[in-house]
Amino acid sequence: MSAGCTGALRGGVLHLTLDSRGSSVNVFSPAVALELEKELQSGLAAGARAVVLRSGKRGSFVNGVGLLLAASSHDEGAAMERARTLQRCYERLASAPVPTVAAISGNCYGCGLELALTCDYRLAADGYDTHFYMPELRDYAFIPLFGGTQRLPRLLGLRQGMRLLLGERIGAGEAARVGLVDRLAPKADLDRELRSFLRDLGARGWPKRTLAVPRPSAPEPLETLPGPERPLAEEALRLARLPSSPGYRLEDGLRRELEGFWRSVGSQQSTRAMSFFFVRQAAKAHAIGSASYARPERLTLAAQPRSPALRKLSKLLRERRLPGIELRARGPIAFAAKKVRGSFTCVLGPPGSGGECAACLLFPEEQIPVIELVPPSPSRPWRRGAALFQVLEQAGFAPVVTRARGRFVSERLITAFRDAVGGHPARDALLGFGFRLPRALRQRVAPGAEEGAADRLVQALARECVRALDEGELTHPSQADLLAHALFGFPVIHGGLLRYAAEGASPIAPAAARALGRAVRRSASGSEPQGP
Amino acid sequence: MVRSRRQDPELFQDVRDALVALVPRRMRARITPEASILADLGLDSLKVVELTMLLEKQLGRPVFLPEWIASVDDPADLTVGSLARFLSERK
Repeated sequence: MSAGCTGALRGGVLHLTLDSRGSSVNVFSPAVALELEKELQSGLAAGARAVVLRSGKRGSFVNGVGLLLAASSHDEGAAMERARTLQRCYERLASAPVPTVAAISGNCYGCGLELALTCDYRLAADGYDTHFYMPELRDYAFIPLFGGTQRLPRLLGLRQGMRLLLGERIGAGEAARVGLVDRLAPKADLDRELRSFLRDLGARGWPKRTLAVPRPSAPEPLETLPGPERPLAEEALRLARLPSSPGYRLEDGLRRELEGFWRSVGSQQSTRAMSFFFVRQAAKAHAIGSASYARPERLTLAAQPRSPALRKLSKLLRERRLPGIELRARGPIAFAAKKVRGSFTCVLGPPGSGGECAACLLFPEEQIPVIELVPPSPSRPWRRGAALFQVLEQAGFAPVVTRARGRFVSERLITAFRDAVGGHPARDALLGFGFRLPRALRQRVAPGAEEGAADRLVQALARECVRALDEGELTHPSQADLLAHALFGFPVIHGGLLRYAAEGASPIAPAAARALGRAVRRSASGSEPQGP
Repeated sequence: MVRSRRQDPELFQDVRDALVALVPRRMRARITPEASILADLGLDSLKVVELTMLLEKQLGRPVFLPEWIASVDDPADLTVGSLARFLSERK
């Protein structure tokens, strides 16, 4: 039985299809890599004139290499052997004697993007879920290990290459603009575009791509990054500069990249950052009953009529090209508070329902805006919630589900933020600690390195989260951690907010430790939460 | 089958029950203390999150598996038995 890669020779073209067994998304494991290598070799031996790499999973080209492997690899010999198996597969594809084409639809993340980069050409479906993203530095605090630091700057130049390496997420249109993607296909027509591309390629004699030397470009200054992220970013920049150095050889660059990966993945920062993946997914699982990927075909939402909120939301959804989303005018606003500039609240739900959940969208100008969703009843299962959550998440929002009563939990936390550091000369202190504040909040803090500001903010946020957990407005500690990260950019290198607060010696530590336990017992029993 | 001397049978049963709900029926016979959750049971990181939820419900207490994942030398050491031991050590 296939682990996740099958090959078929059709019309002289080898079609390699990735479809990880038993997983809702494609995971490029060593077993899949070995299959890909074998299929590639036998296809080439059978006379393939071109190779097409694509995904059999809807919404996922490749989502990752399997975080379990990275997080549990501490024995250098075995880990390097696995990495070399994968690297060999990447290099076999890169050195194929015939043109290779990645046909991308859905999330193209990390090692999946690096796999697409080994191909000569990239086609992408212009859909809401086609995103290109390198999570390694930003989410997991390690150096990528499958050529990203070498091939991104070679293809895009240093400036755009570093943008992606540092964790900027871009859609298909932007990928085409910067040269990451050679041709865009309307969402439903990737197959047609691929056929046309292959016809053109055949008519030109099946050429391999010759990489033009990108124009020299300077990367954005690293000083704007949160302090703890800078050393790793500097290391990535050193690696990304290699391709433009005299006498450069790709294999040397790849070797140095792998050394950089191994040095970084064993750090405490990286261990904590990887643990945050599980916190994030646990928050999702508690919100909608599953961490697995599922894609609704169609979703109709109702929102309050003729309000500026509805217009803003419509515009955001249009920009993100969500298919099957229809906005209808219906329902009152549950919480009318508008305490945060730029934020808005509305009721979302299927037509005729009178509103399914209250929604508060914060910082809509940010790349990944936070949207807090509050279902109407804590006791009844929220049937459509999973569909709404998944669509919003795949469109690049950060959905968080709470049981807020009368006031959104995110608003409570923002008030806590203002009370702790608003107007204080603390901007540099917070950046130094690692907070990645959204612009609207950054402006609320004056420049300066006020001593103790970061600690004060951590404690204030932890205290408010503990209260929300005690009051049952948050039902699992992972939701508190996710909110602190999504709203204030609490740094992943410290793991989750509550665990960080619980491990310290601050006055909030005992309450944070208690919250890490008590909230779960309550949520697991399914009983209604008690007041404080 | 040799079981680890430190194996906690009660928690092994809890872990087994949670895994039964997660792995395909034909693979259930493979749920032994020595089975690797990756190589033998085919779990990925998202399935581990589902496993966490099931264990929290069953045990009625928080379960934070990243600590277990980071505690081994090699992914092959992420066995069902080692998970049961991890959970019993953190009772």
